[in-house]
Amino acid sequence: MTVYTFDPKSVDRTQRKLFDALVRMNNNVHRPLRRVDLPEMPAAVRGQVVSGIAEAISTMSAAGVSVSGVARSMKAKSYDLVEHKQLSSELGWGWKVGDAMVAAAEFTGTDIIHKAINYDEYGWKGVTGSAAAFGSNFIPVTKIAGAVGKGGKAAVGAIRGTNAANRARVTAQLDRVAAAPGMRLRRPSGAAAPGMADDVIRGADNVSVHPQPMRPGAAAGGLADKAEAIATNPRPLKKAASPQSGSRAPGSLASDSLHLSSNAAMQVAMLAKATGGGLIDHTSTGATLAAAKLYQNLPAAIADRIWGQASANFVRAASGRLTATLEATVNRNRVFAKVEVPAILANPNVTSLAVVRKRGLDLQPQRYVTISRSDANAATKVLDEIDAGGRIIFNFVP
Amino acid sequence: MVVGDPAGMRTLASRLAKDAGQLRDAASDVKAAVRKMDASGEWADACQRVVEAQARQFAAAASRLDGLAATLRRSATQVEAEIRAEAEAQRRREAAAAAAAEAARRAAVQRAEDARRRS
Repeated sequence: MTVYTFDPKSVDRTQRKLFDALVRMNNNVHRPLRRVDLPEMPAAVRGQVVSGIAEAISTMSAAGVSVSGVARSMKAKSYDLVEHKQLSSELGWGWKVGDAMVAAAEFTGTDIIHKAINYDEYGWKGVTGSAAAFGSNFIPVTKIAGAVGKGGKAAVGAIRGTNAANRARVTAQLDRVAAAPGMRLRRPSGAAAPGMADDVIRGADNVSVHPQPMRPGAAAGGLADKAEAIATNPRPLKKAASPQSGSRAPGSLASDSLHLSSNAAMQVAMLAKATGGGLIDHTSTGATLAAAKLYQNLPAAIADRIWGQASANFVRAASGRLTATLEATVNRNRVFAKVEVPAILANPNVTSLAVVRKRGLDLQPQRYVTISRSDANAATKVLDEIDAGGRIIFNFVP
Repeated sequence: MVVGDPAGMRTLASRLAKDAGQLRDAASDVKAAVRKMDASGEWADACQRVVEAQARQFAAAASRLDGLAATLRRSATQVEAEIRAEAEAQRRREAAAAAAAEAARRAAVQRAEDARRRS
């Protein structure tokens, strides 16, 4: 398949150079030559000069018109984007925001704006939409928009501020540009995104995938991409990866500890330290993800997905007896229920799971439950037992 | 009579040569511009083909103007030579006429002297 690339900035520069050359030629050569005063000369020479100049003017005109046509073609292509700028101005977004949009579109294709629009449809705040839309699959809009003097959320904020009719106009405009024959906006070169962001978005509970397929190949750099990369980075986990003997105190999962108050989180950390276990927060992956404050900066569904990947790695590398600090009931749509419990059941090296309630953090078990890994409903049983309340130790048998 | 203004013809020749130079610059500029364009594919190839072809046309027009300039210079040189030749011929004619007039005057003087002696 032939791939056409097209850098609007470069084409824009080229067409301006062509026009400049044509204007210079017209002003300095073509126009003056049409008004030349011929000195007295032999008739034969005069005939040659007159016909020669006429021929040169004619050739110049034809070639100039042709080059001008090419330049106009370039202008039409590259300045489709300017129409967006104009459009954004018409919509009252202001030129700077228009610049940001144009810059973004130039660098990444139109998906970036489509995404921002779509994310807005889900009621996400501008900054969230910005982080998710631009960080998930494309280069950070903050960088682009910063270059044109506006904050990253300006473009998205501007889109949010408009109404559905205007959004439809922009979308139609962008579709038209994207569908222009032979045109494909150049994407930034650089490391290819692993495609995980696509998976995250595709799998997120409250997000629909945009009708246009997301294209890989854009440079990573956004929060979600970085977090994705960290969550899936096969760097060894520090404590949980080391085998734990049965005599050792249990480790501790900390998927939900993210939501604890700092005091409670500290207690969990102290508990883990006292029992010799390791928190996911204390792994390099977990620490980085915690520092990124995913849940504050990304929609919960995406943050859950990223944490889920990190947790799955954490659990896969764990062994022996694990401890989970949980709320009174388990949200079946969150990381613990959807990722960690199945991963624990799938890990034959994990012998037991102690469930400690966040309130109190008492390790003394109130009941013991044996769970067969071969049971198809093992995960549901674990969750039901947890929801029933109390401090539990699950013992896993084949 | 020689027809032509060699100075005017040389001025025009210089101007046409300068125009030709500017045309070549334009041809070079447009070629370089499309070659540097960061685009590929059918459309970009077509742009490059057309612009390069037209750049050749600019260069052809420049050559035509250069040819005219050369023709004008050659013609000016010829006109200058003709003017010089005509001037020389004129000078010779005038010199001959002057010599003839002098001879006639001397003859007249001689005749007058001879007549005076006879009388």
